[in-house]
Amino acid sequence: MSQVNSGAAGPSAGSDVAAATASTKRNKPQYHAFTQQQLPACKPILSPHMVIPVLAFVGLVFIPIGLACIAASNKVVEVVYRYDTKCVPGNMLHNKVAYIQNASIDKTCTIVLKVPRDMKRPIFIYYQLEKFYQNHRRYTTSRSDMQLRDPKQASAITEFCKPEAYAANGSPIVPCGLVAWSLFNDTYSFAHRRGRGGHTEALTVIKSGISWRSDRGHVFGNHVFPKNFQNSSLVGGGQLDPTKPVSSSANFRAFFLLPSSSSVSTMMDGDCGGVQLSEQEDLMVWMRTAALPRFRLYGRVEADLGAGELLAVEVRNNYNSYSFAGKKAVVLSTSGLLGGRNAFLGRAYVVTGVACFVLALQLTLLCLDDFILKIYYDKAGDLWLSRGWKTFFHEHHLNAGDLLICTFDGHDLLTFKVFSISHCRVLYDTSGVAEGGEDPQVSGA
Amino acid sequence: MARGSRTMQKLKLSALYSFALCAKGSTEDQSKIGTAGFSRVVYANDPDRHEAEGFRYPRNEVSTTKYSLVTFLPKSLFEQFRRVANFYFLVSGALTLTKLAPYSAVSALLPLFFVITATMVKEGVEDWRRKQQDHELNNRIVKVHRGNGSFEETKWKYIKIGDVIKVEKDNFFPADLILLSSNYPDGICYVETMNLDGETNLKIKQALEVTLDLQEDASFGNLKPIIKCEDPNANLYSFVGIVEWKGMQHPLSPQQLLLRDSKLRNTDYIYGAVIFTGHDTKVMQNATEPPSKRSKIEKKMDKIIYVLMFCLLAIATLGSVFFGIWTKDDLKNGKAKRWYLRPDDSTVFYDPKRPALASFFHLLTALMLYNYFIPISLYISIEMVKILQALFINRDIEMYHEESDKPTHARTSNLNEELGQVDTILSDKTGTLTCNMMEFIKCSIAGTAYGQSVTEVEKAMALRKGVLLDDEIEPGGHKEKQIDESPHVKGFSLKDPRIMDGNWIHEPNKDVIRDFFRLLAICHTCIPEVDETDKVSYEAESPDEAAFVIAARELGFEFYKRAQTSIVIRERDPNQHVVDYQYRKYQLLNVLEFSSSRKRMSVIVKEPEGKILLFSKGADSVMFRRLAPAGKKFEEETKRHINEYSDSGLRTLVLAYRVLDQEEYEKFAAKFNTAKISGSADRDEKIEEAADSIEQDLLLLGATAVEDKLQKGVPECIDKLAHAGIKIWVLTGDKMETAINIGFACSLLRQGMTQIIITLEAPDIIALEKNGDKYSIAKASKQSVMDQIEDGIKQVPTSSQSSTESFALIIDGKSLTYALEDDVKFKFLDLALNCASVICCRSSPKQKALVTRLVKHSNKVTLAIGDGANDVGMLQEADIGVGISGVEGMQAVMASDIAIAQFRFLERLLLVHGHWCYRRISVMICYFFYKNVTFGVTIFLYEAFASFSGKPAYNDWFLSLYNVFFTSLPVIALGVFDQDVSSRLCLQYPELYQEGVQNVLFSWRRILGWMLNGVINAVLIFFFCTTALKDQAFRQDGQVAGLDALGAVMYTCVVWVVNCQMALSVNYFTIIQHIFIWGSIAVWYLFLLAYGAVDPKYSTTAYMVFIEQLAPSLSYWLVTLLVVLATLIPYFCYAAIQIRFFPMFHNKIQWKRYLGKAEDPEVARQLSSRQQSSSHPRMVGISVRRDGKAMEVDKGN
Repeated sequence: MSQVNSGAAGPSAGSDVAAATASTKRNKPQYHAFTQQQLPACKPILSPHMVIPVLAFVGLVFIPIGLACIAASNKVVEVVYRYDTKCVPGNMLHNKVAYIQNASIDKTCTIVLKVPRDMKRPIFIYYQLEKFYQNHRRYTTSRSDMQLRDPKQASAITEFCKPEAYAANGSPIVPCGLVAWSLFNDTYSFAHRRGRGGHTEALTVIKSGISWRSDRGHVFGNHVFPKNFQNSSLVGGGQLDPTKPVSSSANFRAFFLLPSSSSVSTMMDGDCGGVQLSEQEDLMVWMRTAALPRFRLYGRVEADLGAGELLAVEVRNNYNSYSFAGKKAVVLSTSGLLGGRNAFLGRAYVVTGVACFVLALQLTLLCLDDFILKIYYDKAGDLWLSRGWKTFFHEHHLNAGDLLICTFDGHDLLTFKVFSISHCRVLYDTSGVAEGGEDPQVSGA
Repeated sequence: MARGSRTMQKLKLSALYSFALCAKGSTEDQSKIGTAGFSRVVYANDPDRHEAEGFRYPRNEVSTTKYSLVTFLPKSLFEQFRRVANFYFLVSGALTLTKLAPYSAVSALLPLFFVITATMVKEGVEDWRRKQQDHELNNRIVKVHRGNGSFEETKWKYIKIGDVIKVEKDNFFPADLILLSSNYPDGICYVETMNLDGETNLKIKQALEVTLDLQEDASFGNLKPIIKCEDPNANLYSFVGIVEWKGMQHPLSPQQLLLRDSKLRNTDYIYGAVIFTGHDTKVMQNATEPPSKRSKIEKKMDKIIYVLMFCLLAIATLGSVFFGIWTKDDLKNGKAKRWYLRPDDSTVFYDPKRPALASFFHLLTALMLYNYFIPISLYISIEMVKILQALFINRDIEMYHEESDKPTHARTSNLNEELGQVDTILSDKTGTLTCNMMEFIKCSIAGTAYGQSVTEVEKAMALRKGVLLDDEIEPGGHKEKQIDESPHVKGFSLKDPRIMDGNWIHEPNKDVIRDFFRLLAICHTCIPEVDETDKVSYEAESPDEAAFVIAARELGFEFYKRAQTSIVIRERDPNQHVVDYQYRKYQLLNVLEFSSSRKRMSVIVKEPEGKILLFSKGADSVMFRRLAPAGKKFEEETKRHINEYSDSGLRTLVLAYRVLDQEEYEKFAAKFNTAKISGSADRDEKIEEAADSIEQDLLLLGATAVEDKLQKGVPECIDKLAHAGIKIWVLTGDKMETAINIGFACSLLRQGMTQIIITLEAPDIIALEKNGDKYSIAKASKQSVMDQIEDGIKQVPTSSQSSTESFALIIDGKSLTYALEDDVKFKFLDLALNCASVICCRSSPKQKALVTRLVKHSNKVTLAIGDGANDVGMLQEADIGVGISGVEGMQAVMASDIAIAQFRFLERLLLVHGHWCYRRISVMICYFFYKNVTFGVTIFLYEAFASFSGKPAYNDWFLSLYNVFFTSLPVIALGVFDQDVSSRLCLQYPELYQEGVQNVLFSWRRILGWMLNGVINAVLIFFFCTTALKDQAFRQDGQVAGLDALGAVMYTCVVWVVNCQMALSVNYFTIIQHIFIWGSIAVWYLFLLAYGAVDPKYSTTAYMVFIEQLAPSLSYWLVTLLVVLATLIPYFCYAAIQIRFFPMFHNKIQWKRYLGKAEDPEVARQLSSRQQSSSHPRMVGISVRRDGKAMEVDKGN
């Protein structure tokens, strides 16, 4: 019978083991700092000892920055004049919308501003519109950037341009859409009077360079000319300037000196009427829609104004802000390192800086005074507990007759065991007690 | 065929071989053939006939892939969009194609596309791997009969039903086969079923007698048997069928069935007929998807998403209401208010005449706009993070087991963070806590105890009593003792010069000793394997049996050979010093198999001398009752020894034998055979009855004691886990005494603990059991269990009361049956949860699963760990199933979520990886929501200043890339790499683990806190930016900031703030974090540059915005600096105050580490004890070791 299983010498358990040890451990993971999660690392702890210096440092840096910002902002001279009601004749005040919509009324109005401080060139002129939601989704999307850029794409009108997409004759409007259509069209011209009774002198308002270079270069096409613009039954805002703005100082003088004519013109009917869009900086500025319901740049005056000078502004109040009760103002401002006058940034820096200091101080006080027992050796070399002892006493509900065994490790760890009168050790539920409670950190040993 | 015919004669006897191995199929079963469910007809050796007869059987090609080329796209897309968030993004993505969209469709769809593609690629790669595996399988080669007795090599996939195939040694079966014959004349073959049930022992299969002689290729020429059998099903252990052979019908049983994926061993070749192919095979039918488990954190995350969606809907509705009011206001009595919007000539979306409709459409727009509240990349990021985390777990060198060459294997990465929240561990004992490597350590023969080794339990007990055993000279207790002069034999550590090296011959009762060891060598079901050097090793079904056979071998009674009908043992003559073998061949007459109800096994053999003997071994409870009065000579001593052994945590068996006379045996054989052949339902009972009748009047030989060694490091590991506040329940099938002793050995129990024992071994119940009816027994038992539980509850103070005493609950299986009944179980749970340790003894696999389910009721995370098939239910039921890839095969591992090689790795898995993963995932999710809330709120605030018209503050691409480019990588880095404390400290301060159990890092308070932080940050960013850049020029050239500039400024601030906030939350700043965090910020600027340089057609409002407008403006940089710092300072201070005054445990450890004292054991003890006393006063099982340590420390002081 011995042959029955003679062929049965399969791999036995023993040879399996041998095989396993002989072959290298195939499944053994390789050591690597990455897979063993032992990469060298820094382990920051946001404890007071680190937070306090950082806070102090931030405070130290922020306050000077803030002061510098305030100074920079204060240097900027800004004159704001709101004219939306002032420029409406008293008899029309009850119905300002009717006034503004009546084309036959001459809307010129002259304001006299007093320059509070010396203003160095360049002086920027802004119009300020309020409650005007340029950021309304319907409004912002109502334009065709293709059309603005490429003369061949004049008919590339997005459906969002409606209802200002096509003229009555069906040909496309360039530039189409509500944004262009509602172009701001109040105009300002300035004359200043040097000293008392001095002669008035018109100021040249330069309207070039007020837009972004990229707009001039790429966004608004060089060979794109307005078509059918403001030609429909309902006129929204301003027309585009038929002439190059930079050379239009003569025009402004004319506005100021002569009674103005409302016939800026309808000469843009034609195909190539007017100036190409890449020169229409007013439009560019306007089409960079504002983030919030406010503000736009108008032009620049390259002249210095002295303190106390009077400035006559002739406003042609064309733009209808009355239906939505929006305020209009004209703003003159010089420019500083940070731009215009706004004390917020500086103040915020100062406040944050001060807050950092206060917090740092507060933290320091909290950490110093709260639960730390002070231990000192007297001259005889005995150990004494001083500050923080009372807190400790209350925190642990110690009573007369309790026995305390204190162990001091010589550095900063003092351990207590508390035994009550019944000789039982008192155990504390330390979840509510702060860290320093049971083994107070000891300083000044 | 001389050889064949000679063995044929023996075959009559082989029928007697064993009843358990024999067919269980009864005629009753066979009669079902042809009815529903049993309709399969196989024309063996005639595969082409099936088609002709109209049978359609699947091909043998299997595919385990989830998708095919065609179904991949729709199916995986469907999977993707089943997730709420993804579906939401799909819907909002679809809406962007309409005019409602606040941004361009491409910018919204691209990130979604990106995220979905990434996930699909991941799915695809996984499926591709499966396909590769399938391909490899399908193209394996096997020999198939191609007519006229010629066999041809064919690929597996071309095998058809009815093919006759020839499988050679050490090859896998390609399909389910009916065994026709093998190279052995009696038609047996040995099969290894490791891939099926994980059992490593060989199983014997046997062909029907009628097909035995088909032993050559040529015999298959014209054979056309017909096989009729059951339809494909998943039951591995049953099979019903018949074969029509030469006009006769012969029943088939599982004994003839060879299953696909099992392996032919120890047999040169077999012939078989294919009956099930491909997906019909039993192994494929069994392939079920493991239950997919989701972690609690992920479930909570879904809730957070719902909360966010609700918030989103709320603010969108709020916006829509305002929008409606304002839109309606625009046109009054034909007068346009905001004339520049042309309300008189409007589309439906802005129509003041239909404000309700407009605001409804606006609501849709707003929902799209605010979808940045919900992080689109959250799921994919979490998935990526988890895969990397799982990689770290798999690659951890400290969880690699050198001996078995097995690393830890996270089979699913879904549960990584759940590992950090485990509250209760339910552990199997054998093979999990213990090695399941049985060591024959002691025995009691004829009333004399042999064996002087000291068991681990004894060591533990000695330690408890403070006595040092002589054995333990070195103080380093658990180190392996140096190997003695003779090499250690695995499974044998009996040390006793009285019986070793043949000295037993000088003992007074040497005859009993000889019979004792002969019994050990004969009474078992092992299979020997003799290698070239004539050394024998054994394949055994259980390690106990192997230990017995090995013990017998070591003492000179070597089990040498097993044939169908005989067993050969090789005895060393103890009298001679020269090795001289004496072969003794026992004729094997019957094997009366072990079963859990019988608790014993016996063999009936005929000695070479002709005596018929019955050898029996079994549990003491059944064996002592069966002793003949004459056989009780040593009963008292043996009983005492058995008690001692089980006190020492050993497994004991009682050995006895009996001499049968021929007549008696024949009577039994007749009875036994009729019982076996009978097909009636009570067949098993009859067999048992027959066996029972013969196993009487036994003569006691003695008892064996086998130690199931504790795995290395188990007590220390349990110690650490107990420190960590994890409750450990041991669910074992062992006796109560053994279980308690093991409990002591692995420091689950300690002397000072009050043991609450719930048992039905009370005298009154036993008395009732003897004569009561079932109903009254059940009633009384239940009442008794109830009373005991109530008593226990009274003893254990509720958690609010403080007490330093700890309790252990020990319950036996019978009581557990009643304790798990619906009306009792919550009381039981209540009691169990208040005990530090719980031990359930004598529990069945089902009970294990039920207990697991019960513990889950307490809403705590449960982890089940086990190694055997009996733990599968428990593993699948628990929140996390951990399988030990140990001795008992792969079944538990297959059902587990994570496989480890040793119990002790659990410590590192939970305390280090679990803790880290929990921390990482929860911080990561919180942060994810934070960053999106921050972003979303700035958009919302801007809306309020844009009359809620739905205009986003940012450029379209800024919006859509926020989650993808500028903020995602740092979070992923946090999720993968962050560590609050190093792994060493995690292990040194196990209490840290409670952070996960109590879920402090992912509590609603914390989540909402993070969101609040997000809201505050957003408000600060928005108002600082808008106020600082409001009216005036923001640069020297006089220009003011338009929407494009302001959007870019705000966005810059958001990117800085969220990334710096991340930097503040990171605890572990490696180079990777630096690269990702600062890199993300740098990428934003680079993007701004690059995107700004693109033609304005594409870059729209971002055209040149940085290079022309922002970069030259000092204000821009100052605003950024101010906003970032001012926004972060509140958190900064909060963190400092929290760490200083309300530190969490990890903060404390970090602080000590900073002071350089974290490693100091004294500091550790103080920190830990305070932590423990505050969190879980009594819940934690404080172990022996810890007390010992505490005492040491006290002494040191």
